[in-house]
Amino acid sequence: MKYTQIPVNTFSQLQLNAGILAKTFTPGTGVVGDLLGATTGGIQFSDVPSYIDFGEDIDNCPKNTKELKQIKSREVTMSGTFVTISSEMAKRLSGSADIDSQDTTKIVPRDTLNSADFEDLWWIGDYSDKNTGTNAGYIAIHLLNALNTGGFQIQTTDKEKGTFAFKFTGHYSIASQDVVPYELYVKAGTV
Amino acid sequence: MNKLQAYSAFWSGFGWPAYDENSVPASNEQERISRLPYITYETATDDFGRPLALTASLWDRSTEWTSVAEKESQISDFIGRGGRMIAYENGAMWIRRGSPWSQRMAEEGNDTIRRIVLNIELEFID
Repeated sequence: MKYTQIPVNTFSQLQLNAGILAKTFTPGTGVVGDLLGATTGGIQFSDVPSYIDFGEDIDNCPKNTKELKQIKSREVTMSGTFVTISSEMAKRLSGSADIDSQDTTKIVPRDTLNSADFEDLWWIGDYSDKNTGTNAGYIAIHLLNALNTGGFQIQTTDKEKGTFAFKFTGHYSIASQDVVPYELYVKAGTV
Repeated sequence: MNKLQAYSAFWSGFGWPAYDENSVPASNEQERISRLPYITYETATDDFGRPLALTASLWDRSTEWTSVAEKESQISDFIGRGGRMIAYENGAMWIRRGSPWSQRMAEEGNDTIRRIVLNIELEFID
């Protein structure tokens, strides 16, 4: 059938596997920093814009006129579920918390946010048919000023591993108000 | 290289002869044993989006599991946790470790043959 086919380069443009969450990543070299933890069920990233239609209350103006449509805000999130935890991760998942200076096993939540609670995170996933070695292909998302807005959660199940759901939200900064809080890289691998 | 040639080349890339499981070049059991060690593999094809569950076997003549276990480890490392893409003419195949990945099997009537069966998932992308 004429219209039942796939592009001839499909195999070289697929994203594969769940990917990883890391504190740092260098797109130029593909070097990955420390991983945040082990996850289950994959990672979901979304950038959901909200729009305002300045023409919707104007008589005789069609809805969704492109010249009158503006982006009102965007909700940029990275969510999933960790299956590993550490005191550092518990602090991160709490959103606003400190590790006690005397007892590093103790994480103390607080009701105020500090600028240090926001940190950049990376998701990196395998991409393209050349996905091993130094020049492996990848898709990477750099989430800026991320904060876990889902709160600290632990779900235990009889005879199963405990899980820790997260929802990191990217944030704008007053210092750079035009910078959307994520960047996206798509790099095909080479031999 | 077409997809079946690439699939055959994949199994032939681990230092042991590799044969389609229906094409071991031996006319009798004695000749088959004389060709050990080798790999046999199931062959099947399907369309993009339809992963195949296939098996391969590692065979050696020994009273110990060392040689087949080392070969299993070599193949496992090559495929890796996320699988391995193998290119061929106009496409590629994604080979992943199945579950269970490997299983030791007894050879009925011959205690000197060691066999490990490997489970793989294979998806042709073309």
